Amino acid sequence: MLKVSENFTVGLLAPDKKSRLSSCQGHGHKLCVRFNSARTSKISDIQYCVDLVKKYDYENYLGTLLLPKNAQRAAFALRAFNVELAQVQDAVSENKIGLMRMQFWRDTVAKIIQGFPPQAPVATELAGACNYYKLSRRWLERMLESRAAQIDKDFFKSMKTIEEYAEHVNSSLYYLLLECLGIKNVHADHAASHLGKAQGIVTAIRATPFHASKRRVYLPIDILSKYRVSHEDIIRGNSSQHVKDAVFDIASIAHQHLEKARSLKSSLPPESNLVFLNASICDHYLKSLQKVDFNVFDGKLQHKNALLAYHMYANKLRKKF
Amino acid sequence: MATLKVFSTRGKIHSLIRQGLQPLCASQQIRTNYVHVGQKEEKLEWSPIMDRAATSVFWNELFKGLGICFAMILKEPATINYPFEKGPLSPRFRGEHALRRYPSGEERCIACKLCEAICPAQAITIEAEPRSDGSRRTTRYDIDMTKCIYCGFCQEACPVDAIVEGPNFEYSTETREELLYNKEKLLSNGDKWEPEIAANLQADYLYR
Repeated sequence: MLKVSENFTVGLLAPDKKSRLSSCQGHGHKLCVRFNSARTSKISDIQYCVDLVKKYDYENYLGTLLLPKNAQRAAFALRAFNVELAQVQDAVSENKIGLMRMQFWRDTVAKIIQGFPPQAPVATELAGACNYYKLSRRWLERMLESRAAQIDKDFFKSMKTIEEYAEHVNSSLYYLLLECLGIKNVHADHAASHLGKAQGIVTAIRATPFHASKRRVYLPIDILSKYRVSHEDIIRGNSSQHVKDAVFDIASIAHQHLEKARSLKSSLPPESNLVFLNASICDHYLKSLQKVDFNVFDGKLQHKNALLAYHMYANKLRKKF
Repeated sequence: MATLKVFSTRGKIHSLIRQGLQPLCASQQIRTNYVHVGQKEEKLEWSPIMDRAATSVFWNELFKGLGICFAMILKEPATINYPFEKGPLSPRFRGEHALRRYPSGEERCIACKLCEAICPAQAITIEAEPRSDGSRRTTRYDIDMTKCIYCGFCQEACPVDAIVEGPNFEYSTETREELLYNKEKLLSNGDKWEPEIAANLQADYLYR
């Protein structure tokens, strides 16, 4: 029996050997799956990860499709892992159950390092990616630990804590994706850090109506209290000027992070642009938020952006993000 | 004119005194707005007697009742034709358990035993051993449906979405033993109800 790492290596190091190209398959997308047919990682596993990302994280799915083919498989594994972790808190009714699930993923990461991943698609794919690209265990664990810690806290005290959380959760994923592309550059890491923060803050603003429907608020308390906005105002979908001002403050910090990441463009290695194409998601949301005058409950904000894929592709061609 | 003035001032003073005294002595309150709640006395004049007689001779009340009956025939029924029609179910309804498979046909459960650990009624029993191909799967997965309290914790705890509480609520049996579900029964439930189970919420973006 071949071990997972060997599979991944064999498949990805020998793209020219047609005998080992098992298939180039997909539902509407072209994802080259190259490995021989060993039990430990199957086509269905990577297909499951792709479907998972497509179903729950469509925008980042589009971004991942624009990555180079040889890094796509690992990127989908990482994104699927992120989706699994992100869903835990909404799937459970008690913190303890959420922590149990987090413990499962913690054990999974430990087992992946030991080389015996549990036979679940996301775990086997992640194991393949980890062993082939020698991904840092540190970033995986940081994603996990900050999400697990968030289950118990369930709010953000200040802008600083939300930035820290975003850095841990989103930027770690970007660091891992950069590792997949083989980029080791301090400027790329710097941009990833800022972009991750921007993305985390945008997610917090964007999901406000969703969380409000479940009587939860994830906007930073220090800014809310600065504008004398109570949690009840947010939960009731109040769109008074105070709420708009608070959202404006939070959104402008996200915008600063985004601009900072973009300003580093000149010092970045050229291929790192591909990892940062997802910046379009934040950019589009912040622009449409501005159009509706920072009323976070406006229905227009919940519409899908049909042009997002083309926008990201255009950015890929223009080598910017 | 002078007499009129005296009269009018007397009235004012009187009302002033009454208003001033009212808080001091409550017994001065006068109540006049009574409502009669007993049976009304029937009037014994000629025309009411004739009206009553006409009402009973021409069956007025009977026709009124028939009118209501007819209106109800035209109305949509409030009940449903149960075994053939079923009421609406929430997508989060917690019914009969099922073990799911991956689209490839492989069973999802990897025997992590989190459901067994979280089950407050201790209704789940799992035994596991590594298969010949090295993967760890359950050899035994039993749920005692007579113990289960349908809290849905097993579903919440499962990290691979293997055990779910599906939408089926019609699984009454004749004997108690039939409610002790084993792995085959749970997997066949999963195969049977997969379309309904899979049609759950789809998110456009991650909320966290």
